[in-house]
Amino acid sequence: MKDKKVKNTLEKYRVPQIPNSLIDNTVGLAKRAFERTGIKYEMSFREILVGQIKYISPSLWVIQAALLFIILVFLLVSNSTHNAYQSVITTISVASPIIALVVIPELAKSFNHHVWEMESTCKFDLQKLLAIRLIIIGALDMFVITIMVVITSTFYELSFINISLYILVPFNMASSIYLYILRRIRGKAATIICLTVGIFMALGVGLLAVYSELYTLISTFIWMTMFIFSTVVLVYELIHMLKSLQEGEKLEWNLP
Amino acid sequence: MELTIDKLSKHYGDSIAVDTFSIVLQPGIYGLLGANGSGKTTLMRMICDILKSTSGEVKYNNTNIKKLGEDYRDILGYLPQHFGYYPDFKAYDFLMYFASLKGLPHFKAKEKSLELLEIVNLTEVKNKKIKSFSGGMKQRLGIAQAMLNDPKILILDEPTAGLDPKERVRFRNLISTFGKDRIIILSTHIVSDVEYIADEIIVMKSGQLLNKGNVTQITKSIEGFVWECTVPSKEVKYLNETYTVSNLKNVGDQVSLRIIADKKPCEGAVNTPPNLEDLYLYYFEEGPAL
Ligand SMILES: Nc1ncnc2c1ncn2[C@@H]1O[C@H](COP(=O)(O)OP(=O)(O)OP(=O)(O)O)[C@@H](O)[C@H]1O
Ligand SMILES: [Mg+2]
Repeated sequence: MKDKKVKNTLEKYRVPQIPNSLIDNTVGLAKRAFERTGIKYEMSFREILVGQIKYISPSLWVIQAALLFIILVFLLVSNSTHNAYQSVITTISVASPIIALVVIPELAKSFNHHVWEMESTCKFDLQKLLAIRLIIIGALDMFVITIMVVITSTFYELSFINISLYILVPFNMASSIYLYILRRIRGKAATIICLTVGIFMALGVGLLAVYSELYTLISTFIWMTMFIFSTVVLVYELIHMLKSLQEGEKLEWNLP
Repeated sequence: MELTIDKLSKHYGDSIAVDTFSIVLQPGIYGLLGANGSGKTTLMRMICDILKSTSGEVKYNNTNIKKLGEDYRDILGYLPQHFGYYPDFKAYDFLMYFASLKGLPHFKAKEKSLELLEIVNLTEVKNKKIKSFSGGMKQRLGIAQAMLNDPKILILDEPTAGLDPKERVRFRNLISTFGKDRIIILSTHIVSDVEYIADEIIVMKSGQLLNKGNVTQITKSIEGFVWECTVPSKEVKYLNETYTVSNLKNVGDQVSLRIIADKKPCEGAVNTPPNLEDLYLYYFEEGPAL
């Protein structure tokens, strides 16, 4: 009963016809009134972060996804090889410096494309912008690494902690080296040097992993120590990189 | 509103790019003139706080801009001399990206970007990739970028480089209508770009402030040094080699010359009122700036 009544009332109600021009006019007046108040719109950090995600190069997502796919294929194929353990260790060891490597062009892009000068003069300056990019990229890397760890520890008899360490230690070391190179040498050269160093590092770690017994010979305690040490170095490099962005002339790596 | 540049210097090793430069700027349009290498870009970068000065400071309303930080950048617009863009960006994306860095809320960013695309005459290509743009189109996009946050201080480093005459005129009109209650500094080599719109001309040489004032004031300083004469064509070579000739025109078998010289350069030469181009030549013709 009641429902019907409500329905009837609602149906009876007619919206008066208002010309669109009047509506636009009112909206315009309200906007201008708001602008006159001088109230500044302050974006929250979360808003800035989410806003920047869509400006990460599409190629980064594609490359990272392709890389993850290749790694997963290698990890799953390892199961049928005669020395599955060694094969898995080699895969994750080679993968970790490469995961860190594919994000370098994204970090260097402000300099590679000479956009940094304009970015530096914006309200959220280059330092904040790079910090935000690092957070997005870092989250992406951690996502990829987590998937690797979960897959590996599910399919093979390896402890979650050990796998994490085997991946994160080379990852941290490689990232620190790339950041150091970027901080010291700017411009396209830096990206190319990072690529070369990265590939050699992946090969080096890969060769080491062939003697996979080494990985188990080294105690978890030592791995842990290496992890803490490499994390400290990485954090140090990150802070230095962000700080160096404030020194204008050092950014002028390539005045056209 | 006041922008104070106080004994600002920038040294690169032994060479001095900007040399104890001091000036106080009130709202208005300023034309920064100077030969290549005279320090215009270096000065502008320091005003934008992207380059550390060797000594001296820049103050906005009596507060050092470094102290103001974000609040200063919030009212600042800058077009660098050489600027770039991300290759996968379209014109509209480019403006939306900078609007986000400038802290504009989304609805405002959209409105402003579209408005500016219209102003710089790029609406039709707003969804084209920037890499397909001509030099002048890129330049106009850069100008739009600098104006996104409705800046109180607008610094444009050679904004008219690469613009065709029609777009130059558009740019001049844009700046003169935009210029109220703001401090606008634009550097250029093209004297006519600033001659009519600048309230004040700042002449820079070897990193130093050489002269400033409105066009009449500063051209007054070379009054009596600009001459006009008509000579037979065989004398032109000599005059051209000896003096700074700012204009040369064939009139029948005679040649009419406009010469900048301290003394009467030839028989029958008469003084004429100097213009800004004469001034520029007077200051910069005698040799490289450094
Ligand atoms: N990073 C740098 N390292 C060393 N010297 C520099 C650097 N940047 C600029 N200079 C020098 O400082 C001087 C001023 O340069 P600046 O770019 O400010 O001149 P400009 O007036 O903008 O010239 P242009 O009209 O060519 O743009 C020049 O002699 C230049 O060689
Ligand atoms: Mg310059």
